[in-house]
Amino acid sequence: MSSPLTVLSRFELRVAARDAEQLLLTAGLPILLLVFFSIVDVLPTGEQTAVEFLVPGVLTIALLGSGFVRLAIALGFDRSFGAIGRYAVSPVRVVDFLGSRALAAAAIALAQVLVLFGLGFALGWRPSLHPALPVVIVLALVGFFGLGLTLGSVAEGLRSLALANALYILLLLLSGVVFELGSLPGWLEAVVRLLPTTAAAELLRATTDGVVGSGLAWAVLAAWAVLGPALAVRTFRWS
Amino acid sequence: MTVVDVDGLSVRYGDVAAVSDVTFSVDPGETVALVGANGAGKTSTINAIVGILGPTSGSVRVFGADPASDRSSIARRWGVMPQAGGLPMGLKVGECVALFADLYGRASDASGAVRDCGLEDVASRRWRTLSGGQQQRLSLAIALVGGHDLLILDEPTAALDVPGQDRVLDLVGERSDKGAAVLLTTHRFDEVERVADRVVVLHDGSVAANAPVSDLTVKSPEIRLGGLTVSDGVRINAALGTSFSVSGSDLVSPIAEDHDAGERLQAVLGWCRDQNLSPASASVGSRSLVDAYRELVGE
Repeated sequence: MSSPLTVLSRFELRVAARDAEQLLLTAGLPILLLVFFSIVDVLPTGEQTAVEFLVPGVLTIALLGSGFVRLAIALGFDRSFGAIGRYAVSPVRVVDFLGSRALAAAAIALAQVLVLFGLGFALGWRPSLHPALPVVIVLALVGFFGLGLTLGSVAEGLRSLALANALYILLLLLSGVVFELGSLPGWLEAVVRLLPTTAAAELLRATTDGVVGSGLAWAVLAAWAVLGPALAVRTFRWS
Repeated sequence: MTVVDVDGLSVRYGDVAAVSDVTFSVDPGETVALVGANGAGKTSTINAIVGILGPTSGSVRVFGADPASDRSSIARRWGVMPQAGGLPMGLKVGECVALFADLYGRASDASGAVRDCGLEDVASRRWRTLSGGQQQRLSLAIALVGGHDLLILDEPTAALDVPGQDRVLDLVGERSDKGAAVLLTTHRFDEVERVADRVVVLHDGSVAANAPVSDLTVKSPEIRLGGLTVSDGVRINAALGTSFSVSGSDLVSPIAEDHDAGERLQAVLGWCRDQNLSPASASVGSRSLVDAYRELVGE
């Protein structure tokens, strides 16, 4: 007999695979951005080629999309559709419920990472991978899962949809994903360095360039990886 | 062993007491109906029993365990039909039943539950497109693929047509015959009389009665007179100490336990004859459950 965690993880993956709109947002958009801006050279990428600058940022977008946005919207809609109340009286535990969503999202995110690596390589990206890269991906995902599931608990239905997308755009604009942080005013740069997306983008850039990255970015990413899931468990309610 | 044991349960929402000092139990093979007006505390009591609402005071034990802290392990043994349970967005009817059957480790029960609840024709439709009654049958199907030791149904027939109601009550009866404890809430007293062994009447959050259905009906005979007016009833009450009141188109008076029903009826009819009153009909019968309920809650 399969455990509720296994049953729900399989179910979440199946649902995700046929949810075309969400797949377009979480998987299609990063691919589109990478291909478009690699070909159309309009971004200020410094001394790097467009694809070298873009791949780490687009990886961040992909992890944020499938880790944060998708989970927030799915949980928010499950709440407004009353599905949570049904799980509440089943053998599903909080850890099964949140864990299955995180596992399914992780599978989608990792598939995206592989696709984006392949695509980047095809567009001329030649990374120098640092062994810490998988750790960055895992920490970033765990933090994003936690924040997504938290948002899905505090905002239901259309509110979770609107807030998740608004935060997605805001985080991407501010986090050095599409332009360098040095372009921001000093005070704003100091603030955005504390965002999980900024830390993830910086460390993805570093670890695909053969270096480990700054201690501050690691501290920020690790802090969000602890804080996000803690918030998700704390805000979760079966009603 | 008692399956559900509610002892002195109180549930408050801020300053509002939804449930006050409620005590009752459900044994294996027993069907208990929880009845009461809207807002009487039925759903709050059910929510405390399934562990999604913590008691303000008192205790709830299900299979001897605390449903608030041990819910996931207890839940394997119960099937629950919540009053307002939705389902994941975009799922088809068959998928909904299969998912929950799988979660209960009863994947092979899914198709049988779909069939038993008359959902075969809509199994490939998305659940949100179903009518209210069909959604209710889906909700029952999900409860039926749950554990077989306890069935908890919150207003299971509220939106159903008559054949649907019959089917639900048959399924409840079948599950009960196999030894399951059943706890259901309803506003329909004919359902209670049909399936319940015991009825717990809630009024303003408190237990107004907790008794076998037969105790509230068979043991409470009444005299029923047709074709008389309210003022006739008042006169009879004044003369004979009865308690006639209007029930439908009849006058009805309960008979105290220490009186013989037949003798009381003869006395009433004798008095009527002396007063030239001619009831169109006169009978002694069991008090209906709905009348017993009205009397208990003062409606």
